[in-house]
Amino acid sequence: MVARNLALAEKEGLDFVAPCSGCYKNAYFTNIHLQEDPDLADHINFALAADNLHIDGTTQVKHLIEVFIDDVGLEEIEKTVTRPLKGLRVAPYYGCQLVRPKKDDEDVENPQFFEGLISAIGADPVDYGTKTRCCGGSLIITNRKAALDMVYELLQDAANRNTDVIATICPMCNINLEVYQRQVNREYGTDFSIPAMYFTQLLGLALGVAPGRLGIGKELVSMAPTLLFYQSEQVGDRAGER
Amino acid sequence: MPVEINPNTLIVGGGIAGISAALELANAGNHVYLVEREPSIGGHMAQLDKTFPTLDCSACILTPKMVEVGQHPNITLLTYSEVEKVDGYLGNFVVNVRKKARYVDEEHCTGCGICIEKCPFKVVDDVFEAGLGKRKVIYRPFPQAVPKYPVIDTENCVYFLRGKCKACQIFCPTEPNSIDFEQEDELLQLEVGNIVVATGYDLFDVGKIPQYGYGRLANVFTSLEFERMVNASGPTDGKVVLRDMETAPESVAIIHCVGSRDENYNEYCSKVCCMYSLKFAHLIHERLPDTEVYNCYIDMRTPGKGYEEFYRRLLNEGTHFIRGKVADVTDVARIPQEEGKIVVQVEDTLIGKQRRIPVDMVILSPAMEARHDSREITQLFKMGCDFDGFFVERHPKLDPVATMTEGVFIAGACQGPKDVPDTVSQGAAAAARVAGLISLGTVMVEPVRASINKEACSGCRICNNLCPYNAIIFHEDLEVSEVITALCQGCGTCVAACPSAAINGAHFTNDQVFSQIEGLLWDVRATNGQERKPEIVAA
Amino acid sequence: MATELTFSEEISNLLYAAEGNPINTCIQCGTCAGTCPAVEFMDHTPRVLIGMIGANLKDEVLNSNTFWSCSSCYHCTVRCPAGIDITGLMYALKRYSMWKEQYQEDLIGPEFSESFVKMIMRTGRSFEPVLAPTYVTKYGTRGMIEEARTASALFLKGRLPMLPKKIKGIENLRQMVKRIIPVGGPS
Repeated sequence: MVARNLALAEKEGLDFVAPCSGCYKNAYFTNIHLQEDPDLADHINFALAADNLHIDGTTQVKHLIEVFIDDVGLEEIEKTVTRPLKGLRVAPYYGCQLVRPKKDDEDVENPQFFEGLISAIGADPVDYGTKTRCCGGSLIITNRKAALDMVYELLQDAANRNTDVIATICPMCNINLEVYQRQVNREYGTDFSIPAMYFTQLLGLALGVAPGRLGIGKELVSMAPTLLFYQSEQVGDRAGER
Repeated sequence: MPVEINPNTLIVGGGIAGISAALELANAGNHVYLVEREPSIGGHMAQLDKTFPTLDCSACILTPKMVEVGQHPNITLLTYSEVEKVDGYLGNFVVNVRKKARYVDEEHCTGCGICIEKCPFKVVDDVFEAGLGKRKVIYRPFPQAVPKYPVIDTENCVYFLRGKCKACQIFCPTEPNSIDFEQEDELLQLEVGNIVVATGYDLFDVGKIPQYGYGRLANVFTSLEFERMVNASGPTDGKVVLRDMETAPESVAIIHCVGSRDENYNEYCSKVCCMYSLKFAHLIHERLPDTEVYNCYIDMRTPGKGYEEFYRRLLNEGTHFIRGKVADVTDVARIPQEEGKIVVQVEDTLIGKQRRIPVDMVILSPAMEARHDSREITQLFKMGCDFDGFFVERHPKLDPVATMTEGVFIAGACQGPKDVPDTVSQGAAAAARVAGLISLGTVMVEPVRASINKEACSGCRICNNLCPYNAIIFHEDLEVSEVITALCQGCGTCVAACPSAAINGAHFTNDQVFSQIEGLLWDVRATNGQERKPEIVAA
Repeated sequence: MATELTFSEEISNLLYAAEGNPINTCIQCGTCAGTCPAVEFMDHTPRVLIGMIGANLKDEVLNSNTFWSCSSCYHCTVRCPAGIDITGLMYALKRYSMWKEQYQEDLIGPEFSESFVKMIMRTGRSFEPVLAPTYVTKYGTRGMIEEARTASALFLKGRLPMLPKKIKGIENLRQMVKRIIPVGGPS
């Protein structure tokens, strides 16, 4: 399945960009395995031939955030920002599969690149211990209780550290942290109300894109406080309070 | 081939390994140069509080040895000094040592300590007190330091930074004044017959395991911090307290195998951590009888005289032993009892359940690692080191203190993690090997040597870098290489590598080797397929 | 003479070949179980499961819910001091269990996996409104109501589409899968 998608990209000579960590992880490692294991590649190509496709593993697999950080570059983003989110406390949530399994010598326990992006758009990255803990996304269907437990712990940690927004790099994490927040509240008797935003939504705000076009308004945990904060010109005062 | 042995010996490193080797040799009537990088000898052992399993005070047993070294007529002590260059070979090494400026005149200083008292500036002591305590800018690492002369830390001295102060000089009571701001590094050249390398170890940097929270959670300590804390002359006067320096912990977790037995960091077992972790548990019970102590271990490794007995003693003392490698140390509470605590998350493998243990204090027991610059040291002394950076002995069982380079010996934790008794034994063993060579006076070395045919040498220099003993030099003027016979160990690497076949090993020339093969196979050719009983034709 | 494979070898063969057979290197330290965010929902911790595989306790392992509770976060894999891809092992056990059709009853995992795969074979995409009814009945009343509330909230915000979409060339995809399955066995 992954090979088919990769082969389609390869046919067009395009890079393969995934917005979701799980898709990214699968594509990245499929690509690597195909490069390193000729037997596997033969087998896969036999199957792909059913649709006149072929794969060499030459496609570059990237996560969307890598495109912004490595290809666009933080300096370039910093220059383009028109509405820096000064004083907004953003918790970068890496989740599991963007940084794991380990690729080359990346930091799997305490990565820093997301913090860099958050700083580049003028916001304050929140330092919290659970940023690479699992959100339980893949269990939300098969083991709901376990997944809610994990979401609860993440929200608790973020809340303890005065987080305004949790920024995610994966739609599934985003759904878990946001959509299931109400279920967590009902299950644990908590009253969390921390919006979770896919990182491009925050990036869009900083670049001056209209909130409506960023899908803001479709969320279940209201982003209104964030928006209010964004629209107020008292950002400076608020930063001073902390 | 006869080589004369210079009876003087260089010992590099003034920890307990170097001290043992130096005293053995000096007491046998040989002259020793003991070079130490820090301002005082003593090494890691001087920082420790008690020694397992007998719990004698580390300083009490070490200090007399240090004093003996300082006063020994046969020992030239060169502290705050580093070896820069080593030339020569077994029996005849020439070593360049840089003696760094202390800015204190050792000839006149009486070690009274008034300058230290009067110095108005304090900085955090990252070395001896492991960052837990402070020291003055002109300082002795610890009161029992040998030698007693202080040293000025020029990076923090206000006089060196801004040209003002001189309090130490003003108050120095000696005549003439012992503080010398103009002092410069001294370069010494020593001639020695043998070298003992005893450069010790570093501790694993626990920051590499962020899930253990060191640096992020205030009350996570390293083993060395705890050693200083629990030491009566340390920064808390021996009180076991949290980072606020006053609250006693009600519960402590000690985490074994931090950075050892783990593919991601060091694969080897660091050998001493189980025992010192047990020692910590004991010291906490001794000082805070009501405090709960949890030891989280993978396997309890206590092979050694009296070691298993010590483990049993701790079991009796009521230490909680949890068999499992700790996964996380966190301050995110899940239940009210965890609020305000540090939670140690670990599988208790003996019951097959994940446990979360709320404690006030966590002590990490990091692995012993090779010195961060051990590879440079190997190049200096032309030794080998293994993948982990520890120096390689000539034979892992039968020749544990010699190296592949004749005349260079190793002792202590620079060869691999080991505790104090093993380290002392190795120091003495290395000394015995050196003493043996000295008493021979002249030794015969293997005559198998390579030599270069100057006419055939193309000057390509391939052999220069391949030689593991740096025994090949290049004559720029003649554009040919030459083997220094005394350094060559006859390994044959250059012989095989030379593209012009210009290098020959004595007694192993191509002609000789081919003749031997022919000799061995003569009857095989002669019988040519006919059945014939094999017999030995040459031995 | 062909000897029968041990359970450990069978499972190891299902792990990605280039990684060798690393299950034997387990030192039973418990890092995986200490790290695992879902461990309290497992009847055996991952460490115990590895021990059981080594002890050839095939039925007990297959009837365990451990690997169905794995959330694939790979936290154990990156921390394992013996370099075992524990998450990969959990996936291998899921495949093996589906292949042998031996799994604990009342688990949502196996059922969900099956309906998910069927869905992909039909349209080439995942589509929640059709998928959900296949597993949600196992949630119990409370869970069903919770899910229904969440789904309707999402629907009202315009985040759930009404109809599934098919990918282009779905026939060819089916052909591809047919070529893989007979050769690759259960993987």
